[in-house]
Amino acid sequence: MPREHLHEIWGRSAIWRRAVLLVLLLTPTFFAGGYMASVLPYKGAVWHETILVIVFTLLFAWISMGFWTALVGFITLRSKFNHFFIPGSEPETADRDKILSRTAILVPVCNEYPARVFAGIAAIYKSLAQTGKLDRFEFFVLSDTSDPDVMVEEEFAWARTCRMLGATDRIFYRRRKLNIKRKSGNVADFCKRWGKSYTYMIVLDADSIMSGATIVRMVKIMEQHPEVGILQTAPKAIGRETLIARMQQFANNVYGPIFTVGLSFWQLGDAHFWGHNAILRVEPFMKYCALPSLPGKPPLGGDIMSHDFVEAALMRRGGWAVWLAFDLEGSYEEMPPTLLDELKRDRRWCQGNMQHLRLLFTKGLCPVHRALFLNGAFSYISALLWFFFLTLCTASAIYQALHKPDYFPPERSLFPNWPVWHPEWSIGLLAFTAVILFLPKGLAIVNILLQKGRLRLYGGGFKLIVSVIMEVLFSTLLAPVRMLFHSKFVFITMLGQQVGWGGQQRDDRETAWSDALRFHLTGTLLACIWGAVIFVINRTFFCWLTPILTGLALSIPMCVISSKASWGRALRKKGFLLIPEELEPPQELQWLEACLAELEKQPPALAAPLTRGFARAVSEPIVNALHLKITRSRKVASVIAQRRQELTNKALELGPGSLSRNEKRELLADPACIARLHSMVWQLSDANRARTWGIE
Amino acid sequence: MHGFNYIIMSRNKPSGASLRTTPAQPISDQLEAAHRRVLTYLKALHIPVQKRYELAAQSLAEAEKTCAPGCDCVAAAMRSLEALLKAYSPNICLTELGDLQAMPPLNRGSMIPVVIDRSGPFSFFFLVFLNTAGWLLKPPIRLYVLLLLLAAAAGLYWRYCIGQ
Repeated sequence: MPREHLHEIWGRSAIWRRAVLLVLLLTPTFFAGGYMASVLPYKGAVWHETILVIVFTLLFAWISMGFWTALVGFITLRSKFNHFFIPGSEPETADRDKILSRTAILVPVCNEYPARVFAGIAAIYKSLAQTGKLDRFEFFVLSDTSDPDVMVEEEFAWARTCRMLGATDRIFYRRRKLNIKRKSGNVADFCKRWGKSYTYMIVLDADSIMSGATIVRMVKIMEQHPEVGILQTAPKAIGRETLIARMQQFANNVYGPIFTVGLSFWQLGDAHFWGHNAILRVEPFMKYCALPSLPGKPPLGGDIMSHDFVEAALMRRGGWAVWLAFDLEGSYEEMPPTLLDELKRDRRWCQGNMQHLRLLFTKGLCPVHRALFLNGAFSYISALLWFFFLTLCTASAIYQALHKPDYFPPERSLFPNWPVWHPEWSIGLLAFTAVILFLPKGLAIVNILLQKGRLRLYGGGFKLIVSVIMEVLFSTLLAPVRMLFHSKFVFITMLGQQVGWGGQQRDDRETAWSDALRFHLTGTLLACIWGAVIFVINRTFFCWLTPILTGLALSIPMCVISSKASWGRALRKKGFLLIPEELEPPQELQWLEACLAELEKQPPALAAPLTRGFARAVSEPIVNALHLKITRSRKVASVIAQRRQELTNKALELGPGSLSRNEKRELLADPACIARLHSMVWQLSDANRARTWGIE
Repeated sequence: MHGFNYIIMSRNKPSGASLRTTPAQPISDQLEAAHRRVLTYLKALHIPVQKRYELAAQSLAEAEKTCAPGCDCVAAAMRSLEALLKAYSPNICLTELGDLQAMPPLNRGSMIPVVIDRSGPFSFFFLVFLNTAGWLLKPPIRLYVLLLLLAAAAGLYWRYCIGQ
């Protein structure tokens, strides 16, 4: 595979940095593994202890990776040592202020809440307009929406946004009929149709917000560095009010920076692409990043699900650098509002990341991207390993309690076989592991303390510390729940079960007790039985297991409580878990709120304004005309035409509620049918039937 | 793309029971219902109130002419309204939304899926081995490698030949 930019000035430095990381990672891991073996009664000499030591060593390496990344990130941030860092803080000269290239801002959506999507676009649009560079940018909403009601609402929200901003020639809307290859296919579809018209594209998620200044800065960086293929920003989590989402926002805001800087230190120009809030150079993307389907059936074959990592690896394979711009502010995203939503998202990610294992040995990829594939998969496999580790420990503890040691084995030996258990050494190991896990959080606090005026934005020193303690307790209790689910996801994926890739819930809806019970009952029962058995057999080990079992046993109430927006708001009111964006919301977020309120405030066109999507496209004259304007008419076979005629009659006779989603979708795809239905519905003289369409 | 051409009040009647008229109703009641319907439609188009009543009156007058006992006055009024609206403003439904353009002109390019050659792990490690060996044999690295090997050889010699 020919590469386009062969001589990278940071290449040699990258080798050294990664070599140092490897040494830092392996040396303590080696000693921790040895120490773990020494703690065990048979010093790792029996098979189950050997497996235990191996699993522990793998897990230790995994957590120490995070530790070293955070530590290096902290040192880099404090020492301002950012050699080779592309975005940097380069001075802007007058000639650099010009932007000559055109940039498309892509917003791929799939069954999202339309008002929120377009409010986000409106906020970005306004922010860009403020920079005076709006004429170089165009917005594309690329819809893969399959829900007919959402489709119609999207169209109308698009039209209203265009009208609100006076942007009829700058915000475009396209909906694909076939959702081939999901988001990556959607972006590829854009590239094939309009990609040649643009030098760069900025890919956003449905919940992304970026400031105009940041977008302009990103384009300038790309223009100054023609070897950069992808520039990824580090989006900050904002905008949610549920307890769990506020915890995540707080963690992302407080701990995030040092981890991002650390990652950038190791990766340099071999960085991640997270699929959104990033700018990509269109030409090399079209040349090198068209994804094929993997041989075999899903979940491990078929379309590549987590496409972003693969696209970064392929871009890099083509010789283009991928950078993580950790210092670019003004890039935001939203967190899943509830634990269940987070777990649903994780299930999709798990499947995608497991698929990456099949790409590990792809020819021509950079070693760092192979490591990233492994790292991504391991972020879920580690849960299964942890679960396996705990199971083995439990089995070992039961074995110790029930089995009498064999002091004089049949083999000839000078000394008796004397198992010695050192619980005090275990405490030392636990403390060491705790340092690895929690020191980064301490460093993150120190980082905030050392920044002048920053502490105030987190509610002051006391509230920051209390918030961190709350977050640590909360994440400790949730960790076993996540472990159990992630283990299940890995297991299910390995068994070949596939998951859907639908839209995500993005509003602050609370989890019902029934839902929590349905999802967490197994975990709760498992914890109760596990705890009871261990309590009876080995009480010392029960104490060790208590933090894990507590989290699992309380998973049902935790799931419900953590989804409560009222709790999140109450804590915010008291000044806990605060993030700077909550205290001093940037202009873009204020615009987002204002535009959302504007788009949600719909003038009641008909007597029943709550009539949803499909019914609106049929009965509301303006929505109907809009749908007809943007839907292309296609010739269809007479059988299909006949079926559509029958559907039209059914809809007219029995109302919109009588149609299934597929039937609604089929009618919406045919403008002639919708036009006919519109006219017939308005001619209905039966008031009851007219009422089903919101007319009377 | 479809413009206003599609928004025609269809004269095609749907088959079967879908067109249940109410012939038992007196014409005056039907006209009243038609008046309400026409006004609702005009209101949904956000037409100014005065013009709304004017158009409604006209369409009802037209409908009344054709409306015989047993005929559907609502349908007749809506059909006549369609003709009036066309004369009033051909793109009345889209006027409020402005000159919308869903997509810019196409500028097609191609994206050919890349080849992902997933050679097996053994061949991969063999290639890595060859590459590393090649790198180690290049100057100036080979000098350090040579020195390292010499040091290792000296160490082994000392350990097994002199040290014992």
